[in-house]
Amino acid sequence: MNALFAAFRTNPMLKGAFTGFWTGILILPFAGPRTSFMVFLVVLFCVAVLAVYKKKSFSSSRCSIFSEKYRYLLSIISSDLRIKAFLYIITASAVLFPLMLTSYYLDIFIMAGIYMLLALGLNVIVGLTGQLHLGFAGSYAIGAYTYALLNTYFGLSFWLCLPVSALSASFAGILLSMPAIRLRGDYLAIVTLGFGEITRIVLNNWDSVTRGPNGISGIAAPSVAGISLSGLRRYYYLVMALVVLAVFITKRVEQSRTGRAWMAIREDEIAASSMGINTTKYKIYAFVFGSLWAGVAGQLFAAKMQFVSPESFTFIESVFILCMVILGGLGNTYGVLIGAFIIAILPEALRGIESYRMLIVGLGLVVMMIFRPQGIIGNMKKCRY
Amino acid sequence: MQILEARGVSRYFGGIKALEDVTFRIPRGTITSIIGPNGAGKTTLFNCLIGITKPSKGAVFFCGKDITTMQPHEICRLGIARTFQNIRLFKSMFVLENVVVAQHTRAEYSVMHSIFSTKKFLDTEKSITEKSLEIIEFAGLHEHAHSPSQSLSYGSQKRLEIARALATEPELLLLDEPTAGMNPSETEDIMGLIKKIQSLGITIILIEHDMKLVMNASDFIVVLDHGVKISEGRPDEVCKDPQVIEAYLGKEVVY
Amino acid sequence: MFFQQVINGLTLGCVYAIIALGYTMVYGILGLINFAHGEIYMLGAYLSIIFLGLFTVAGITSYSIVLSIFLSLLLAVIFCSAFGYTMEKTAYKPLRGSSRLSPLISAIGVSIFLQNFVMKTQGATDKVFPYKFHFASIDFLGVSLTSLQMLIICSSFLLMAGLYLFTKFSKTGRAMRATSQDALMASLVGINVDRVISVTFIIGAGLAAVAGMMIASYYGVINYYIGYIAGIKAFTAAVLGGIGSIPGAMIGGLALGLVESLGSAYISAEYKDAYAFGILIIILMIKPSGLLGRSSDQKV
Repeated sequence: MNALFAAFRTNPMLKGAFTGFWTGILILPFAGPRTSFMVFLVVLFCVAVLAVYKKKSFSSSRCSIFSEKYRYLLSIISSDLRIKAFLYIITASAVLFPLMLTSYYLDIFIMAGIYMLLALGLNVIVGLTGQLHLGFAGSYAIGAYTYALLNTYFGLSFWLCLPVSALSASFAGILLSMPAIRLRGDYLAIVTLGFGEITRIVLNNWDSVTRGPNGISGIAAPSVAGISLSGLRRYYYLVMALVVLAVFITKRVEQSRTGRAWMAIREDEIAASSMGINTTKYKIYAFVFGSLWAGVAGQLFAAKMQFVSPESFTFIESVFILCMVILGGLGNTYGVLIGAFIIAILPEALRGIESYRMLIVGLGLVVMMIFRPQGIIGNMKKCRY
Repeated sequence: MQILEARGVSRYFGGIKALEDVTFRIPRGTITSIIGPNGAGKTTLFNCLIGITKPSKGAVFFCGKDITTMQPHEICRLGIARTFQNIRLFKSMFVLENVVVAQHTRAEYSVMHSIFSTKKFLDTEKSITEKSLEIIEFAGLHEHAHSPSQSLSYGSQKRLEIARALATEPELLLLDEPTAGMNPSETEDIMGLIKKIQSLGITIILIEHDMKLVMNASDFIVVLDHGVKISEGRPDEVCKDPQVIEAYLGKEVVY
Repeated sequence: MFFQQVINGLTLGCVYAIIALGYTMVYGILGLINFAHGEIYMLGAYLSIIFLGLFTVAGITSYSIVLSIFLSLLLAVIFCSAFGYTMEKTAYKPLRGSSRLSPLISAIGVSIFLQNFVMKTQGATDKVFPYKFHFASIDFLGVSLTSLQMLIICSSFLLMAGLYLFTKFSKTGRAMRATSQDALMASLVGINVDRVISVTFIIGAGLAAVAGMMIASYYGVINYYIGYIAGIKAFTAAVLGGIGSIPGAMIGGLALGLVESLGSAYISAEYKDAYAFGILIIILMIKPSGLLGRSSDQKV
């Protein structure tokens, strides 16, 4: 009997067959016999190949070519100087992009920029301070609706509204951080999730102000000195300028005593408070500072679409933003920008199998957590001093 | 002149009396050891002194100021720092960063200063970095200043904890079992470090099990047993106290 | 009117309580919010409808309705338990001992995956429960208690009592309690912690499957996203009662069901889903350990 179990565990074919069979049976009632059989074959193949590969990697060393290459690539982008050079190249090409891209891609890049702002904000809360926030779409929604309402009801301009949107999202951040001060880990996650959901439910049902699920349309695009920025190209530059500003400010704050206090709280709250850090205050700061960028991103989104509805701010949106932060590596400011970019262009990358997108995202989250919880880039932190 | 005074400090966890009516005074510039069998309430006492747990009854005074209800960070700002029995470093940070973080209260500038990278920001950052390097050197960790704190050996991590506590510029330093798990020569080194800290004019309270260290280093000893202070005084007085002997060795049976 | 709402609330509360049991058991043992637990309940609801449909085609339903309902419930429980077991082995077990954030995010991943898997295979439209329970109902002073409500309430209480006795007196139950106190210590005295965790997931998932069938027959229609919101509510119930405590989950579930039903009747039905979150946030701010939970000081 034990020998049989051992065989199932070690023999790649048997292992694959068993895993495939189990998966196939599990999904049989849902997917029907034909799909289940296909899944059986696919799983069998994948597991068997993986098992063979694993076995080989024990016996020979040449198998690690892939990871060697990967490490080499990482080492190229991870030294401090090279990061800077890399950043300049990225920035330069970001400036030139609109001249080469079609409006279709420009549109995607604008969304990527908005997501970058969101990811930067969430990174402060989750990555630097270590407070899991599952309702970031709530802050995003507040920013978007602040501009939408102020603009359509009172005709206030984009630039006047920008600080207001940012501040109202921050204010919501303060409210949210009240319970957050007393809660840890999982409980905090659920409360923040509740915040996001309550925001959406209120927007959805407060018909007299937000027009409920129909949303608000006719939101004005921004203009500078009488020139409208509604064109995609101009809007792209606006978004990118704000992203650069956000990166600049976040990076500066991160490298100050505030940023250090955040990281100390993430590492060990009790030790941090014994070292003279007012943990309550700095947690609130993190929520305020992070939510601020969500407010800005929300307003940019509203002005881009010229329409907002509660549909855009669901829990899944919060999860997507969290994915960007995780993908880029928690606490890694440049990393989360890359994470945001990848997730934003994901629908394009998965073109043709779009309906499987969410399946892949779900699976991806699990796989990431198991194999690379530190993000794709990993920890490239260097001692600054 | 006493720097710290505990008046009738009691702490109950449910029905358990972790501390019961503990009173003592710590004179400035001395090394005081708190000793007692395991579970005597020593760490709970530390936690009460720096505000991590609040005493159920009684009060704590620091330099004549009532700090009983203050938050840990406020108490730290007043000038009490501590190390932890089970090491609580900021693990993913570098050695230097650990010490720089602890200079938090000594580096006052607003967020705006850092965003615009003003002269004040740059000067403060420069001075706290230099200060931190000095402290690291003082603690004998200068070789490791730029390595990740997790890569340090157990003994060095303990030293780093002390360095980090020193970086808050305390007047009173609480050390919770600084030599636990160390060999005699490492213990000797730590003892040297403690003496060096005392010579800077910092008052030290020590929780310690190593009796040799306690008897040699401390000016005063407070003995706790089952949350109650059973003895206090100079080392030679305390080790003759029959109650102390009883707590450590058990009661002598007289036929 | 008031008593009618109380009855409706109790029925709903029973379902929440049964789902909450799964949360509370897993949390008690692993300290993990099994975010995907609500999806297991959704799978249970779908499975019961799918199997009932199969049995109708096979002719068992026309032979005996009770038999086919019982069989489909049984199969749903078996499949859901298998899903729960697989989920634990693939998505949570490799993450044991890592930071607290990782398993939670992994759980969110599982949740998204299962939701979209069902949407992909079963379609995004509502599914209808093929059979309506309309036996007699008891009418008393204008309050009507349908036989289905009675069935749900009674079987829930039976299940809860059974689970309570199981954890209290059976050998596995004792092992579960020991593991939830201190997993390392439990493994040192010879308890197979891996097995205990698997059993916990299996029982929790089986209970969720029962809850799924209850809700499918009670509301008559289901869709692929019922799991998310029901999961959140059940979690709220578990926290309300004090997470980790089995009687707490029952009381929390009933209380939440009542609040929701009375709230939608007397305040506003549109904000029905917001009540759960509102209560959750208030409870966590006032008494984070819940109604029956014990507060714990963090060890320094």
